Amino acid sequence: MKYISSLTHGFNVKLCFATVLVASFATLLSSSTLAELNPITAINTCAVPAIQEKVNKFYLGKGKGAPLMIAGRALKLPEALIASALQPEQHIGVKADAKRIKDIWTTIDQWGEETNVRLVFTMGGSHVFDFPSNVPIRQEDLDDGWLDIFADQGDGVRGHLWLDQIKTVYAINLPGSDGTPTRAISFYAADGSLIIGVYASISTKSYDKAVEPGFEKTWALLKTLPKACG
Amino acid sequence: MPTKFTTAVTAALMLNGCSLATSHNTSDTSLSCASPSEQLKIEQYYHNKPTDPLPLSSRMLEINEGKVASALANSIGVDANPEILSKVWQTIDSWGNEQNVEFITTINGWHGFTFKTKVPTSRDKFAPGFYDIFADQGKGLHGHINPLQVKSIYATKFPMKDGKRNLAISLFDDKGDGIASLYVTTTFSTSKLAQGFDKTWALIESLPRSCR
Repeated sequence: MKYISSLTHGFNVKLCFATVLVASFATLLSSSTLAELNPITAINTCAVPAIQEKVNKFYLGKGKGAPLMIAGRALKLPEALIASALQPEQHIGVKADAKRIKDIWTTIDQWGEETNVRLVFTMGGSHVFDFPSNVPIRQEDLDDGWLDIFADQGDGVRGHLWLDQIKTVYAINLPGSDGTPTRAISFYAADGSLIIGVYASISTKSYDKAVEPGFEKTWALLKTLPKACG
Repeated sequence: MPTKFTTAVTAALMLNGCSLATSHNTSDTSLSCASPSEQLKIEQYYHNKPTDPLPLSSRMLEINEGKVASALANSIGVDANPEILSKVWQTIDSWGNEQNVEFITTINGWHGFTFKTKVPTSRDKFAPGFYDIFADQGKGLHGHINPLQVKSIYATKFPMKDGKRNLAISLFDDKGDGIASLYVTTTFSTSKLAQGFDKTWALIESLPRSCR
């Protein structure tokens, strides 16, 4: 429902609001057919030693501190595979389900709604969009299969994550080339492609220091969850 | 990517990166052009809900966005290639980089994101393999679009009450999934955004049309 209202937010669509509500509910009920509309081919996103070697060579060299989508594109690998190949102390990957994703985002809420981060989207590794945003905060849980996240109390980005499509979540903390680490929480589909990355800091870029205690909390939570690999 | 750091990294490392997202120059219009039965469903839907934006109607109808756009009477599309993408975005540049628009994207047709942004305008230099668009002089949205993956571009005019106009430019991939859309709500046809959109519309109208 929030997905619908958000999409219509910029359009001042009020005349058929009730109809939209009814239709959106019906759509959600019949959402299983969406799998046919947008099939995603699952892959093994856990890196084998040869991949680990490739990825770590990249990060030890000219890719030091690079955000994951750059490594993915440079090495022609799905981003989740890159994350899984990082040195053990540089990443935590967990299996996702609806409850875990909600719990993880609750800790992201604690980074602070006025804390600035950088959000990253990619479409199958083809296109990349990223922009600065205050932390998107979880909205009321309607238990409808969506996780709704709004920044700036709805005036900023409005995101609607389809929980069933998120298969793994990774936290990364990579040394940067200038002392600023690259830290992010990233959510991945079954094919290892990025759904959304929340970057707390990026090597060589200034960042909001207020993010640090919150990021540590999220990191700590992920440590307690079932691992994505191994 | 958008940072000095990432620009340097991408310059060094992405020269060979284009093949990750391979070019799909498919001519299979069944994936992105509405069939007669889909056309009927879409027309019926918009008869009742003429103002619904494409991601919403797409989800409601369970028909990809590209097909929905192809079926609308108030929508025109062009088969895209890198040159056409560049031409179209140059007209978007003329909307004015200080103007506000709504940016909507869906990730692989599943996850929806929408946010307000200044008009993202094209860069003088692009990262290898990308068509780059930045908003707010680099302080806002950074977009890196793989031009080989943009299959079609549509301009759509949504009717509104109270003299408002809702206008959209949407980029679709070869599966008809939305890559990115810019939505504009404007009251006056004389506004800079409306006039800019009309330029974009006119360009698309002059080019070989999708799904014809």
